Amino acid sequence: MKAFKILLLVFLISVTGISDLSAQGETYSANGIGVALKSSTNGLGGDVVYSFHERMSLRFGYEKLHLKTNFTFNEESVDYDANANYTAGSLSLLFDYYFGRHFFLSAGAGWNMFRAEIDGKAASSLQYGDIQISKDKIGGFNFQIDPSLQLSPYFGIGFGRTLGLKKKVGFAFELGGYYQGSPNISITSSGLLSPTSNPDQGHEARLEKQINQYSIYPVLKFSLSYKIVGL
Amino acid sequence: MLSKTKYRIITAIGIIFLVSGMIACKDMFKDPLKDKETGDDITVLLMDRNFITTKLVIRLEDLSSQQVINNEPIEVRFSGADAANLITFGGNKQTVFTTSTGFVEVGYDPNVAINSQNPLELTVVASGTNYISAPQFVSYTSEGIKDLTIKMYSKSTLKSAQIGAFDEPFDLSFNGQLQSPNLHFIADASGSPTGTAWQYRNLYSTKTSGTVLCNNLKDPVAYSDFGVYYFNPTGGTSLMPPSTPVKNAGLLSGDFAYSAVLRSGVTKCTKGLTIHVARTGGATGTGVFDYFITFSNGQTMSGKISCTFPSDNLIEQIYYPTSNSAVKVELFGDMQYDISSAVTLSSSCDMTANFTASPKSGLKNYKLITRYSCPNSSVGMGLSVIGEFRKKGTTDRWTSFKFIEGVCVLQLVADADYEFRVNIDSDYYTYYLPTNPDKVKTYIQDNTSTDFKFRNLSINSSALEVSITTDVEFSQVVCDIIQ
Repeated sequence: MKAFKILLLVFLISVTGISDLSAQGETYSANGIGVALKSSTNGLGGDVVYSFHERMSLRFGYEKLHLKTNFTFNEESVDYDANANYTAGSLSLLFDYYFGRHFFLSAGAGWNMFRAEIDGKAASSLQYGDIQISKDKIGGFNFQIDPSLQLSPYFGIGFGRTLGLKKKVGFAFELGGYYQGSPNISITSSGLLSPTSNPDQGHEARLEKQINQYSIYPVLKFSLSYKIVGL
Repeated sequence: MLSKTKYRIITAIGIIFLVSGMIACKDMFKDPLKDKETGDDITVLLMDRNFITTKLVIRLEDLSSQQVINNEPIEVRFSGADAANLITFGGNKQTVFTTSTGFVEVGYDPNVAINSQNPLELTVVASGTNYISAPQFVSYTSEGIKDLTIKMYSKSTLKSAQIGAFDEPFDLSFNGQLQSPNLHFIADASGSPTGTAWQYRNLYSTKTSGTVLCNNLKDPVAYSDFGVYYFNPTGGTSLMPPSTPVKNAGLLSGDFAYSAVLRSGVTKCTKGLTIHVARTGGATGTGVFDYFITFSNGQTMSGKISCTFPSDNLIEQIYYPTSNSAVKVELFGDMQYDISSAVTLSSSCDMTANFTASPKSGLKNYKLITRYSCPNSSVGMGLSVIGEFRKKGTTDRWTSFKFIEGVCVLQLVADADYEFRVNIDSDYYTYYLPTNPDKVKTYIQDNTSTDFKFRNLSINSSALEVSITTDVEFSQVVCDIIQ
C-alpha cells in the first residue's frame, strides 16, 4: 500500500509539473472554451471543452481508431485467408469534476463505435479420398462483434487539466472505461461452413458467453488542449 | 500543495476506481477460446463434412416378400459414362458396391455439376448368389438425395422356375427352339422399371450358351418394338438400358435375358413432376415417404422421397400416355407423419403435387443438436447424415431421419427408448437413445467410450418439445478415419 501511495504521489507531482511547464507566463480566467487533441485506446480525435467553473467542465468530443490486418491460417488441411477489421471510437459528452487543481473525475456517455470484424474464406481445396473439395464449396465466414449498449456510459479518473486552468495550454492523462455491455456476435457463413451460423447450433450465443467479460472498453487517454476564449 | 484532506479523498477515489476496475476486468485476460466451465477448447468454425451433395440411397428389396435383402452380400454395379464419378462415403471412386444390409449409399462427385444440360445418367443392376435385379436406367437433373428401390428376383429354380416363354407378345426362341428347356423362366419382371420408355416383360436365365431370337410381334397396336436385354453378373457381356434391346443376341451359359417391349402411345416428360411436402405450421423435420403415381391408362409408377420440410422432390423419367397426361399422385405417411390426401393433376409433366405432413398424435417433438470436434482443432463439425430409427426392442418398420448441419427434429413417443442406425459404406452403426430427459444424461455419461466423449450436454424440456444439445469430441483415431 505504501508503494502505491508513493507511486500515486510521484505521478501527481509529475503531472502537476507538466501542467506548470505548459504555463505561458500569462494568466487567464479558469472559465473558458477551448479545443483539445487527444490520443487514446479509443482512437485519435478532438474535444471541444467548455470550462464553466474552476472545478467543472464539459467536453464534447470525437475519436476514432481503425486497424486492419490480413492473415492466413490452416485448419483441417484447409488454408484460410482472413481479414480483421477493428474499429473503435466514440462521439462523447463528458462532465469533469476536479478535486484539486489537477485531479478530476469524468462521467458521461458516448455513442460507441466499437466493432470488430473478421471475415475469411477458404484459400485451398480439401483432398477427400479420390476427389478434391473446392475452396468455393468450403465457403467463407464473417464474425462481427458489436457492443450491446451502443450508447455507452463512461467513467474515468484523470490528472492534469482538460482545459488549462490559468493558462492557454493544458495537458491531461485519463484512465477510464466505457460500459458497453456484453458484446454481441453475429455470424454469417456459407458453403460447408454454414453450420457455424446455423441458429439451431446456437454458436453465436455460445461464443457470446465466452466473451461476455469484455463489457468494459478500457480507455487510456492523453489530451493536449488550447484555450481559445476565456470567460 | 495538496491539503491532507484532499490527498486522502484523491487516494480513496483512486483506490476505489482501481479496485472496481480490476474486479470488472479480472476476466479480460482469460483465453476466450477455452470453455469457461470446462476449460476445453472452443471450436470457432463448424464445418459440415457432408461434402457429398448428391447421394443415391439404394434399397434392395425381395420382389415377392418386399423385405430388405440382408441375408447375403449383394453387388450393386453401375455402368454408363457417369459411373466414373461415383464415390464412397470416404470420397473414393468406385463403380461396384457390395452390401449385406440391403442398403447402400452411393455418393456422386460434388465437383461434377448436375442439371438439365448435364443430367446424371447411370444404369444400375444388383446381383448376389441367390438374387438378381432387372437393370434400371436412372437420370437426374438436380442434386440431392435420390431414393431408389431395386426389386430383386430370386434366382431359385424350384417351383417357380419354368421352361419356356410366358406372356410374351412376341416369339422368343433359344437356339431356334421355342420354349427351350435351356432358357429358364425366372420371374415376371414387369414390376421393374427400365427407366426408359421400354417396359420389361420377363426374366430368363440360360442353362447353356446359345442365341436368343425375338420375332413375330403378335400385338403391333399396343407395342411398337420388342427385344431382350442381357446381363452376365460374373463379368460377361451385357446390354442394358438405355440401349435398345436386341432381337438377336448370342448368350453365354448363366446369362440373364430380360425381354422388353416398347409400348405405343407413350411420351416422356421433358420436365418431371415435383412433389412438394411441407409440415403443418411450417415447422422443420425430416421424413421418407412412399409415392404412388397412377396414369390415366392405369399404369403406375412408385418410389420413395426423402424430405426435409419444406421439400421439393423432382420425380423424373416419367412416361405418360400421350392421349391423356393426367395423373393421380399419392403420398403415404411414416411413423412420424400423416400425409394429406391424394392429388390429381391435369398433367404429369412440369407440375407440382402439394402435400402436408402432420405429426401423428401422441408424439413429441425432439430436437437433437450435435457438434462434433477433434482434439486440438478449432474447426468443429455439424454433420449431415441420414439414417433410420425405430423403437428399441421392436420389429417395427424403420423410419428414416436426417441430420442437417448437425440438427435433427424427430417425432417420438415420450419416455420410450429408440434404436438409431446409420449406414456408412454398407455397414450399420447402431446407437440407442432414451427419450426421457432424466435418463438421457445418465445414458450419455454411461456410454462415453474411448472413441468419443460428450461435453456440454444441455437438455431443455417443455410440454411441446425436448431439445438435447451436446458436443461430441472424437478421439484422434476416429478423426483420422473421418478425415
